[in-house]
Amino acid sequence: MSGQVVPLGSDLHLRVQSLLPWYVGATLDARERAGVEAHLADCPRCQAELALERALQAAYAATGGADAPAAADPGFAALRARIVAGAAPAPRGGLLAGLRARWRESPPWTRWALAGQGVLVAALCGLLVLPMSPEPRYRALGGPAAAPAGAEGGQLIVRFRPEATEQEMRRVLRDSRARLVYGPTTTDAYLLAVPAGLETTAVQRLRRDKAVLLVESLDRRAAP
Amino acid sequence: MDVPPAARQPTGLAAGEYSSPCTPRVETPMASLPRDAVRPPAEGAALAESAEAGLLGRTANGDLQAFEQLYRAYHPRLSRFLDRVMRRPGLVGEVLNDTMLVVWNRAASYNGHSKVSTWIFAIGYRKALKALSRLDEPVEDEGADDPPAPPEAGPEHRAARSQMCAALAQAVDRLSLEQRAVVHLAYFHGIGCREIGDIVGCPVDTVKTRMFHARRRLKTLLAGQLEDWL
Repeated sequence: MSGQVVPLGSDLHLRVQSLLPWYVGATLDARERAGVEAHLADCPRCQAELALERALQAAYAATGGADAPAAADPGFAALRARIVAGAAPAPRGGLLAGLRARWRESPPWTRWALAGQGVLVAALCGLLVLPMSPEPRYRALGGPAAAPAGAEGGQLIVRFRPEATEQEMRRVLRDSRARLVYGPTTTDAYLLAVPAGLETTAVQRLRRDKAVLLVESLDRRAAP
Repeated sequence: MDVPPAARQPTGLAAGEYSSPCTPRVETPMASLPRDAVRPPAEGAALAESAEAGLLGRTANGDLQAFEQLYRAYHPRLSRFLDRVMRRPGLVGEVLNDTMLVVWNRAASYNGHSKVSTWIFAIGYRKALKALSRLDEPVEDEGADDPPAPPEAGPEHRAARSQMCAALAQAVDRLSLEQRAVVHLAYFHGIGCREIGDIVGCPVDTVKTRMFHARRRLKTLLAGQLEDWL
């Protein structure tokens, strides 16, 4: 209900009536008060609203007298205890004291949410620090053989001719029963894996292939 | 530290002239009262604005005695405001102290752009909203616009006036929280619409709109009874 917007300005009566609560309370500025009084002088309808407004405000003020507020003493004693216990004013307590006070004032769910976020951030940091995988991200071609576990075959370094097409490269791999492990390197070389026992055959076949420029066995299992 | 008793009286009126429909000895018709005669006697408002600002300044410097004066001056007003807005009597004391703890902690941040009362009531309003949001239960339980059950009728005139007050209190309780805040600040504390906007954190036109809807709903809820008041 309170979210609705009423075009109070479109109707002089509504505009005046919207100001009556503060006209009765004598808190309008001079211009608004003069406008209301000028309208009231000639408008019986708004005069009736004014009478109603006065009755409402008088009755409302009287409703407050029935239940007097509680005494201030116990409340202040409790607050003073909180203050003495450590809730010093922020300017003198510094940033940490202010943060502590805000933490204490915050609702429980906020504290749990912040704690949960802290745990999550710590876990993500741990993942960043720990290696994601034992597999190195960079491998030197001259380094130790890094064939997948269980693969007992040899590894070959191959450079294709610059004019070799992608179809020719696929055919070379199929014919030599090799798999592409890594590449191309900065020198356009590729690391191939071939099944155990086929290293020499594969090297010979590759050397005969017109699409291949260079073949070398990394682990010397193939005959030169 | 004692605070001087409330001394402010409605402008232009002696204390005995203050009118209330719940005060049996007053027989003056409402409509013939002076314009500001309906203002209730200010409670806890003995301090002038400059005195309040001075107390707040001393509070910012850690003067607990000054803060106690401020606390005692605002305790009745804030209690009533929070009670009317929240409709949770059991929470009023706690929220009031939460409010005043903020005043103690942040007194140095008061910049004097608004009245001290506006600043403190705005803190109280926000604390009330926070407290209600923590309850995990519907804040509003506005019913239909059917009139609230009238209090039991009595033969005495005094009883009839008490019934008016009770009916109005029930009707106001059925307004939304935002409407109750505006109505209470305007009707009970006599605060202007711009200042109310500063307290509840909305434009002055929104304050007027809330009041407009509140009055319209009160008229609906009190249909058939208002004529007797006039």
